[in-house]
Amino acid sequence: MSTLSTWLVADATLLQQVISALLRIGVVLAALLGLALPGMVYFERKISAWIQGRLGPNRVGPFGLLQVLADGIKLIFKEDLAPKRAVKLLFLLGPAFSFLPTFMAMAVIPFGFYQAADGMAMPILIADVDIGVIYLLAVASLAVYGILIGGWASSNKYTLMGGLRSSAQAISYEIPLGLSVIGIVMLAGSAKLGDIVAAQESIWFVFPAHIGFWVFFICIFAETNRLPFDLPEGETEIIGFHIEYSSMKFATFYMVEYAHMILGSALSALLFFGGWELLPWYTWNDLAHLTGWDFYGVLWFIPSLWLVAKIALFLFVFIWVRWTLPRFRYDQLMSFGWTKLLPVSLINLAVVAVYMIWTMKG
Amino acid sequence: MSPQLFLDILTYSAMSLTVVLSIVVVSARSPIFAALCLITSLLTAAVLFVLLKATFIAAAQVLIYAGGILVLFIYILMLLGVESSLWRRRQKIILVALFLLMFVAGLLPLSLLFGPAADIMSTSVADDFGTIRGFGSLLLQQYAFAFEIISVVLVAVIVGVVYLTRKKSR
Amino acid sequence: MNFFLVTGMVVFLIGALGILFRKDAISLFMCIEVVLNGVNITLVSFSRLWGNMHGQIMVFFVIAIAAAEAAIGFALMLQIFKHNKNIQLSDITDLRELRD
Repeated sequence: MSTLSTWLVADATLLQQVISALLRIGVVLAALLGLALPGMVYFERKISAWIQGRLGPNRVGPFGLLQVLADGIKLIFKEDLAPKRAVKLLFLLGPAFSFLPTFMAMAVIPFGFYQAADGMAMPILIADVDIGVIYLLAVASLAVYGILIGGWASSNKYTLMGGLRSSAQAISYEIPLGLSVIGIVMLAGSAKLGDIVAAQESIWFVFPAHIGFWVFFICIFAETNRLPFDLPEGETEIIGFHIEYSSMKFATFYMVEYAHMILGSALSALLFFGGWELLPWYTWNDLAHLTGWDFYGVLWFIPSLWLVAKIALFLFVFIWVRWTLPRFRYDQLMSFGWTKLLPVSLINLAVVAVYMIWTMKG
Repeated sequence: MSPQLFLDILTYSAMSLTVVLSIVVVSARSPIFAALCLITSLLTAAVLFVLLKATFIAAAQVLIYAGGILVLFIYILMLLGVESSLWRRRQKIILVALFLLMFVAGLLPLSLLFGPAADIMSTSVADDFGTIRGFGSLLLQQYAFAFEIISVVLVAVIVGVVYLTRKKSR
Repeated sequence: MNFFLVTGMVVFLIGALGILFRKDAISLFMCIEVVLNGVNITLVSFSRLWGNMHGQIMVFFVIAIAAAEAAIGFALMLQIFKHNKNIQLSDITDLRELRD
């Protein structure tokens, strides 16, 4: 592990830095594309089935585990249509515009913490930039273009309207999202995600910024086009932006929605629920003092797995809410975002500021 | 490959991309294509900002400019269904001639002010240059009045836009 | 340093010439954005040269004002479109004096 640290410190040679960055990107991409997204598809179907009182996929492979593989192969072999009057280049680029920002945002998500014996300590992520969460918000706001370009390039007036609806919803709910994140940055004193998790060692931020958590969670639902904010793509009611896409392009849009969900769940866990910390008042360091095990050293994967468990819990809540709540109508959706969530997020900022002054005085 | 060479290649390619994309924006046939090239040129400008260590402004540019204003642009383009205007040959010649003239005219003051030895990257900067902390402390202490005024301006703009686009009752 | 300033200047020039030569309102607005992009690049380069962040504060305000101007411009364009059915600049002639 000490040789690993020579690859990760800031003043390693450029070649070492480039190779270590590429390796980290490769690991994250492989974990996402190979493990997390197919797992997400499988668990969505199984859990939806359980909520609805039926069995879900159980024929293909043991417990239906190979169903995702079968679906993937089916989608690859489907005919790749494009409408005749579609703008070819933009039609091809639509899924790419959607795919790139979500995966770029994964670059600043830390998955754990590692402290070597020689005192070098760092969170495990691809790029530890100073602007952390702001980079994340900036890149996530570029995801709107995939929907817009996808809807327009299909050369279909219904998909154009669907794309405009969906992107209007996305940019409307970006503002309360950003404001609740600013409440967290105020509490933590830094925009770096590693610092935000470290600042939660006395208390998780879900308690002081409680209103902010609800605002953030609702906005994540709206940003990922997930029920109850499902109308822009609403499968049975109205024409969405992606209906002209077939086979792998459609699968890309579908996967990007799940990746966006994973990103939102990871952010909820990191920003509000202490990331990889054990309990709201009890960190792994306290446990290490008690038991003597080195939770940030050799056993670094245990806090990481705890974080993954929290992310999985949030994803379960996503799937649960999908089959529990009815869909918002579009005007209800827009008025909820602008007239109700935005003032509430401002109230959250005031509450967080009062909390900070109160704890500073004490 | 030395770090300096890598940074130089990155810098020059970002600069040339910005210039080329701006040319495409100004002369493209389809306005949607021009808007997409404008978005990309804003992103390459953000890359230039990061190379100049202004990380917060790079994020702010992507967040507000490319992620907000340009979305509005594309909305209008899609809703109004604009066709493009073609350029005539005489216009193109005049354009290129004017450009060359002004380019040469602009280079003279630049070379007088900053000789070839001036190297921007060699100036050392403070630790919190370009960070949120440095930016915020300057904005809210020295420029606090301008900050408040601009929020009033934005409220005025919102009121104006809502008024301009209201439904006119008969 | 020179090349950063030259980039800013070239982008500004391209945008300025585009403003002069474009005939529909939305492309005009895009060329205005190109001009502001060039200005931002120049401001940030100078901020780096002098080592303080005043230039970046100015860029912040330029971005905010660009947003405001784009919003008002689009509202006006929508009204013009409702009236004229297109937004070619040569068709916005209602206030022009009569020519003989």
